Amino acid sequence: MSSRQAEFSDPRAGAPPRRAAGGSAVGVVFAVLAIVYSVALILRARSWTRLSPLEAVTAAAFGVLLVTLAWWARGGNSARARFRARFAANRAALAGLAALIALIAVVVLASVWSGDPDDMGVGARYAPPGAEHVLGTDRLGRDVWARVAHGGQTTLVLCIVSVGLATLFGVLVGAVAGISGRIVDDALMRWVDGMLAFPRILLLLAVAALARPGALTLGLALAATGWMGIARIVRGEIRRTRGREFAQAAIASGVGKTGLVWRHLLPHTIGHVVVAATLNAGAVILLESSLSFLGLGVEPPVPSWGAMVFDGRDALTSAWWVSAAPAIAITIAAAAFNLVGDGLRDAFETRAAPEA
Amino acid sequence: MSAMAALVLRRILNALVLVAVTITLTFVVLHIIPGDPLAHYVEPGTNPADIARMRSSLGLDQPLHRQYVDWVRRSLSGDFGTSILHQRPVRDLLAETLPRTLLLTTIALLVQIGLGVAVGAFAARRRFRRADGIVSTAAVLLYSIPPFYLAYLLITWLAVDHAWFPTAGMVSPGAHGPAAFADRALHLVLPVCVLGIAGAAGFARFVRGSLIDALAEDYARTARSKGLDESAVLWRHAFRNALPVLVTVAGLSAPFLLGGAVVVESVFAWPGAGSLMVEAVGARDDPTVLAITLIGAFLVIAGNLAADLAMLRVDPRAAHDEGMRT
Repeated sequence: MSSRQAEFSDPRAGAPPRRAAGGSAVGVVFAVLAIVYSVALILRARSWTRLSPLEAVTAAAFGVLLVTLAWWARGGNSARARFRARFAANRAALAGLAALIALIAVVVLASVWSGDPDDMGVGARYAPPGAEHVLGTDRLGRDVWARVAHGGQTTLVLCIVSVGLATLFGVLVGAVAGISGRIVDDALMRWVDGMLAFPRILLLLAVAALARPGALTLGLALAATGWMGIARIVRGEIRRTRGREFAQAAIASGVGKTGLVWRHLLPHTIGHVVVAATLNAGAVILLESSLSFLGLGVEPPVPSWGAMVFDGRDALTSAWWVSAAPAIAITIAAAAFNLVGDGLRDAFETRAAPEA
Repeated sequence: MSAMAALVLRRILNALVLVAVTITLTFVVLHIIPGDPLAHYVEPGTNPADIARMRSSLGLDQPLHRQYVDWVRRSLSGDFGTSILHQRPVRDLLAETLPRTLLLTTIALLVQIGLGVAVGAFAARRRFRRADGIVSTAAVLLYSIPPFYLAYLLITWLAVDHAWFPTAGMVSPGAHGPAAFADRALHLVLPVCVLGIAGAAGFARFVRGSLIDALAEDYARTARSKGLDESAVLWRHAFRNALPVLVTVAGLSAPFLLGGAVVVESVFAWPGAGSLMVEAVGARDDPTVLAITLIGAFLVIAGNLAADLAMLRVDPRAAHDEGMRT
């Protein structure tokens, strides 16, 4: 609960907890699989084309994200050093991070190192994985690796955009509710509770039915249904900390409401927000694939992981690679986000040291 | 006990407020999304007078506040209009499909709780050791598998290769008597597995976390020092204390089960509300889509209320604490 408090007041709290040894074994296997899978994908070097604007944006966004996180964790502050030590001791989370970076590398470089995802080779339908096609070909003779790599672009761009928007909006609503009086707070929180009552996939389906389909609609809908958890967390943290001494001191020194929230209270919530956003990203990967699978994701010619699994359902045993490749990609992506999210949460919290 | 009654009343009041909020939200969603609701149904070149008649029959010619009042009245009375796809009242369609979905999700919830508690307690007993790490990481991997792919794997392996279970549907034609019951049960196994396993993986992590917290408490040490063995400490003391949190988390899993049912029903051709939803979305059957969305929210609210009330029952402290606060 009072993790931050413990972090600042108890100098002994920093000792990294002994992590489960078996987790690291599973984690290492998982990371090796993910990396082998990614390298196998990359090795299929085909055409060398220039990066598209979409890929450039994705690469830049991920780069900024990772650099920001690294910069934040690097700081000399002892609380951050403890955070770093705890995260580094968690091998499952490190494995997730490695898998995530490998996956992003593959996906961002997809059009550089893969063939055309829409090219239907002559007479090569359902070709098994081999020298010609690392991951075989699908029903229409298209290269599965090229489609997995390009499908990943769609998925990850949707993921970044929707999680980014949802996080911004959630922080905004949470901050306003946290600092406002009873009436505004109540109204905003009833809105949050009401939104949370809808099963997320039902809301997404309803939007898909009512609005014009497409990647933009999907991204906005994923954002519009993903901000409530973050709003709740931010509001709770601000309510909790706004009575503390440092907040009182800031008010006494003449800081306005906005300054208080922005400069003094919100920085305290960043850990919780990062954790929630990471776990939200894992959920978005699965939701996007479910929607594509139901035929309500991005439009057909654009490759997407969920739609690829659906395409491969007729040949589950005879051409297992068609559905297995995208399904493994979804699993790796979702698991990586979840492992990193869990690891971050454990690293931010100072749990009681495990007893012998 | 009157403090308890007041609490129960407040929880029910909260739930009613949420019902009002969700009704309003569906209305806003319907009207915030650009586009004419009639655009999908009207053939180009239709007589403008006919369009106007359709408009007024759907109430679209009314001012917005009138439409809102009408929407509230109709959603509370369960009158969601006529399905465009099936040309039948949406209420009748729901009465047919919803019980099937509830059957599926209720059994999946039981599987989720049973399996989740078993696995979570297993991991908590071996906390921070190898077995715990393997189980905990495997749980994350398991619920990261897309549910539809897991369903395909199970169908291929258990229904096609081994023919132990039917591949899809709810009943086989021509089964009667006890055979019909067994047949229905067999049809349930695979969908319940897919829905329950993903839920159990998530639930097990909460069970593990709250049991580990409880096992580090003073009362657990007291129980150990009076000579109880570890499993008695776990089940009689730690689990009892972790129960309120677990009841709440189980209640919070309602939206995930209902959402998961949409995908699982589609894969297994289970004729429930989830399949109806997907069908209706594809056919632009707006009345059905809105009705199912809203009913889904009502079910979640009911689930959370049930969990809240159950928590007051298993944890008298909560009632006491809240009574002190107000």
